[in-house]
Amino acid sequence: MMLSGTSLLAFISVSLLAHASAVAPPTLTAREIDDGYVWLTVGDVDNIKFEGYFGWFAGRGSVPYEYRIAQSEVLTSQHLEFVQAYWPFYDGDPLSEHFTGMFITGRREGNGYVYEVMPGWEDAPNTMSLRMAARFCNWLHNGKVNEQWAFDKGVYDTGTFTRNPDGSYNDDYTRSPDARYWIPTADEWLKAVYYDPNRYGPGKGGWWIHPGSSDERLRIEYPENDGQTNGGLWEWYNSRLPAGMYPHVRTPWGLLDASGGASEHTTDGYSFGSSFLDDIIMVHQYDRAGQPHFPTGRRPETGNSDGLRLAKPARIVGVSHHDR
Amino acid sequence: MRNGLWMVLVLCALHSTSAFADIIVLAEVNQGQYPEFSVEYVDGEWNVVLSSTGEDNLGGVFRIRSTSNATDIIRYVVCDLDDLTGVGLYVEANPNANGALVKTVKSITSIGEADIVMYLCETSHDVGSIAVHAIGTVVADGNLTGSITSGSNVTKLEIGGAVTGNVSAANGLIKNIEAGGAIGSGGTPISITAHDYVRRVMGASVHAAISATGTGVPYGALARIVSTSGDFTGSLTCERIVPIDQGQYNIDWNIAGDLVADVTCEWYLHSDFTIYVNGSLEGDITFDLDDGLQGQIILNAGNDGGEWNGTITVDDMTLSGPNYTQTSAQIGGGAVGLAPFNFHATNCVPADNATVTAEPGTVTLSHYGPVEKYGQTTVAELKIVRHPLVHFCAECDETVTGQFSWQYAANGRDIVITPGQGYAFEDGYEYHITPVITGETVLRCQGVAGNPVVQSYDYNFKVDVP
Repeated sequence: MMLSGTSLLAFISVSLLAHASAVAPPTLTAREIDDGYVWLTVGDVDNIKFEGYFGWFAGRGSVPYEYRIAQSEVLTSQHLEFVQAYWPFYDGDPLSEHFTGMFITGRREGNGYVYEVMPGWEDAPNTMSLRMAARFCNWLHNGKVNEQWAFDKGVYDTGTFTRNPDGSYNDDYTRSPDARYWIPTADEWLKAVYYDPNRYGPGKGGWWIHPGSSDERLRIEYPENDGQTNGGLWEWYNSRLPAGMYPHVRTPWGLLDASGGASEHTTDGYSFGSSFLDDIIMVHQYDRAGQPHFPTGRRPETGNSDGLRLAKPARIVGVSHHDR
Repeated sequence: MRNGLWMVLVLCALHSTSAFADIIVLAEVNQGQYPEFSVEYVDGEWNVVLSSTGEDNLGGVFRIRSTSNATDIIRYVVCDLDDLTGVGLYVEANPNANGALVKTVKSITSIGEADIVMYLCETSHDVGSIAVHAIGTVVADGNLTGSITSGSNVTKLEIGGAVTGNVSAANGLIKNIEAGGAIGSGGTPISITAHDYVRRVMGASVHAAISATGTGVPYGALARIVSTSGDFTGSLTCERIVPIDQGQYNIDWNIAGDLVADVTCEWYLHSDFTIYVNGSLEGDITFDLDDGLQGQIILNAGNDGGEWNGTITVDDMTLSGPNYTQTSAQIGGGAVGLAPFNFHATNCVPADNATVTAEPGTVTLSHYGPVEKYGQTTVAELKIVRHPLVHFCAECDETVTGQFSWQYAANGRDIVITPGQGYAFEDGYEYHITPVITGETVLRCQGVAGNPVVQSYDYNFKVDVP
């Protein structure tokens, strides 16, 4: 079959590209979809390691690959869809906070449940347990298919989410190699929040002490009062604390709300970062690079006050393959 | 630099004479300062005294760790510090020893002028008493055996076993007390006291005198009480029982057993709030104000023979048992229902057995607890029958259900019945409204285990226009 000029050119291009990419494994074209999150790429592969903070995560924080991380934590409005989809398969109490998080309300209606966002909290980060965060990632990874399997596997094997008679847990948060969404590891989270590839000048990477590309503590105040974080600002009877309140306070990679909002899960058994739910006198300490916030590994099934900031693979520029 | 750099100055690891692990104390203090502390191993337990963060008293953080998991017992940590800038304290896992945890901490106290902020105390077994300025999180797989006393707030006590010591935040708030075992015991209840509020108390059973002592919004509030398998005994005193922190989980009580505690609410039970008692009411509930009962109380929510034995008083009104006569408006807008719920005769509009002298545009069928339809959309869960006021005869009964529609009110208890177009609650008729409680479509209770059907009743009224 004779190829037209255009087709021949395309064929040659494909062939050349295929040859050029033979060094790296050819991949499928990643068709980008709008999944509702703003993604930031964290590069500077094999960056220098974090020196540690009183031994906490010493030698960690170096990531040997590019990855993307969400600019903001998972919002209550985003979490709602998951809660509405998962309740038929959840074997716990569908009205418990460990399932709904703090800012989603549920009620029995007929044979089922109906869930709503607490008015005014649509754009605030919701809380969820580490196990629920894992199921959330599975569900996203599987294209939001509303079937049992889509919540149980894909990124994390929830079959490992069991507890022994002595109280220890068997949870395994090793992500699958083809995971499309995941809970950040401590390395990924620390790097995205505190590591700056230009900390000491162009191309001279290093670590900050506090979120917001700063060695100074962030000012705890509302934006209109020159605030930089809402950590500890919770007023139980009167507050609105949406994500992105401080658009000018970002990590070196552009993340918002690394301080304040919800403290954030990692798969290393600890959450990080202060929360607006914290006692205000504790915020700065929880913001300190390397300082874990709460031992989530001790109770992976409880909600605590931790939220989720998603991670995903770096953007893939691939080649479509044609069978000849 | 006062506001700037912190550095580790001292890493102190004392080796005990035993074969067991060491306790390590790390100090974060300002540059140029030299902290002072002592660690002694006496009779198999560790004594730690923190004396100074440096001669200028510029504050700092102390970290206490073990080097081997679950072997070290700390008899006491005494903070004898005078730093007016405050001092932080951790009893935490050791990241340099595979996350080793202290086994037990028996006592943490402060005898100096510094405000000690305990960020985290985490053990693999028990925690005893803690008395410092502020308490963040206490995590223990075992029991909380001593008193927790905070000069300001207590954020979270997450205890795998039982809580047997008092918890006090006399000038602040208590957010979460969550225990896998009992909180207090029937023979030895504990006290849980805060000024601002007590947000959440959860245990297998709760035996405690709980109080929020502050007055005036936003103080003096109390939210969620949960006993997962047993009773709530003791007492509870507060101004308001309200949702706290605007989170769904900080709302409602769920008492798996009986409510034996005496509850005194000086202002009100919030209209969005429900107290679920699976078993019986054995204690007394008192609302000091005449509009105090704005929410819902459900007794026998477990639908297993629970009874109304205690007294419920709203101002000077005593609600006499499950068919009390006070209307919701008289007591604050709420209700008390003993499952399965009966209709609330005096709260219906018109009232049960009443004669009205004008055709009502709507009729409200009220219950003592929340109800719902269950079954087919096209089959009614109510039956409406009428007969003429004059010349009553059995053959005069006319089923007119199809002439009406109804909506459930936001409170879940009331069903508002409206005539369809061209129909009315007509003059000259007596109406009888009954629930359907057999078959595939029924009127049933909400918030009750197994959703039993409501009690059988006959709500009736006459329309007799002069």
